[in-house]
Amino acid sequence: MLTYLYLSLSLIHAIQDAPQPPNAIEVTAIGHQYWWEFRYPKLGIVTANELHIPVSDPAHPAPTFLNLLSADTDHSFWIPELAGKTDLIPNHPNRMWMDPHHAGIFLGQCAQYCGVQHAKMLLRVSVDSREDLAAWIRSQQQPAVQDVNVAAGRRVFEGTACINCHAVAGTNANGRFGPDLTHLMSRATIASGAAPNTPEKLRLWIQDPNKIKPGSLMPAMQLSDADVDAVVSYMETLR
Amino acid sequence: MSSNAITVPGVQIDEKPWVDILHEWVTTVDHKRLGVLYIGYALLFLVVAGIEAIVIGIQLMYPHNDFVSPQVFNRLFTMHGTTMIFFVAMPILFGFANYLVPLMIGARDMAFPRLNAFSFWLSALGGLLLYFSQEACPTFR
Repeated sequence: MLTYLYLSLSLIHAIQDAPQPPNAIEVTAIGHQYWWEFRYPKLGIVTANELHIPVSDPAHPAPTFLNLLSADTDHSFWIPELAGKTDLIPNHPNRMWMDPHHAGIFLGQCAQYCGVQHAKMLLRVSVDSREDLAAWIRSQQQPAVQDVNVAAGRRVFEGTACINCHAVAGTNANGRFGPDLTHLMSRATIASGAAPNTPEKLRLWIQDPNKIKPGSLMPAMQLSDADVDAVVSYMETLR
Repeated sequence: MSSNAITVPGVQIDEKPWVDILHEWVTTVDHKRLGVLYIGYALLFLVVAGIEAIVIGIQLMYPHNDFVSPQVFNRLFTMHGTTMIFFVAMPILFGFANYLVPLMIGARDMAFPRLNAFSFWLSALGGLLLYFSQEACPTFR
């Protein structure tokens, strides 16, 4: 009995209190209804739903340490191929680490019922080589692309209530309720994995989110067709 | 009076009308009868919770299925869980306990038979109330 106790405790200690090697990347994951916010505090990056982490090598480990917080209710971070489920509990920060040895795209989902669209709160983790990750970090650290051709769309975006919830770095938009859109086009999916990031789906999402994710907390802003087209062209420039 | 009854000459056997049998079961304070009532009631709710589980299973059969909406799915798994614990597992346990424990300890009945009967009917009412609340507010989001 005591042996089992000792073995269990030392295993738990090895996982929970794992020391953080110098190459480790720190990510803060904040669960929302129904999307994931990822911040890299030391790199000044805020993004949503899709995570980029370095591939780790047993000789020179570069694990990713995640601080898990929640903005509203329980969620759970689960990438089956990378790590077990760790819950995001409001007012209770949790800490976990992932040490991927193979590069690639790994899919996951929210694993704790959080509301009607819990099933469509998907995760996409891209385990990148060091060079790819450095390039991604550099591009994410830039403020939003300012394209004068889409000034009309940008006016609609900033004039309607979009900026109350969404942020676009380098503009007036600094809402934190919804995902950061500064580099929306760098993501493969929208609506936290509910739809692929294509202009048609983006248009449908902006026109009426309930068509893709009924119960999502983004309201349909009742924009005219011309306004929706303008906003979509603006979004398409946010690479 | 049943026409299939075996008649023994000289003996009058009166068959009890079903209303009286029902009345006996509804007003019983006998621990054995209450045990049977608990288990019967648990089996009834087992069927209901089982139907909920089947609908959940149909929804989860393949990805992007829309057999039920997310709101209805939420109600389904909530009711299935609540029903299984409070209206199936626990009443079966109490049913067996009510039936067997007085027999096992050599008692004539439970210490407070009418309270025992009241407990059963209160619990039955609780189960009905829960499902009534489901049906009475179908559009609650």
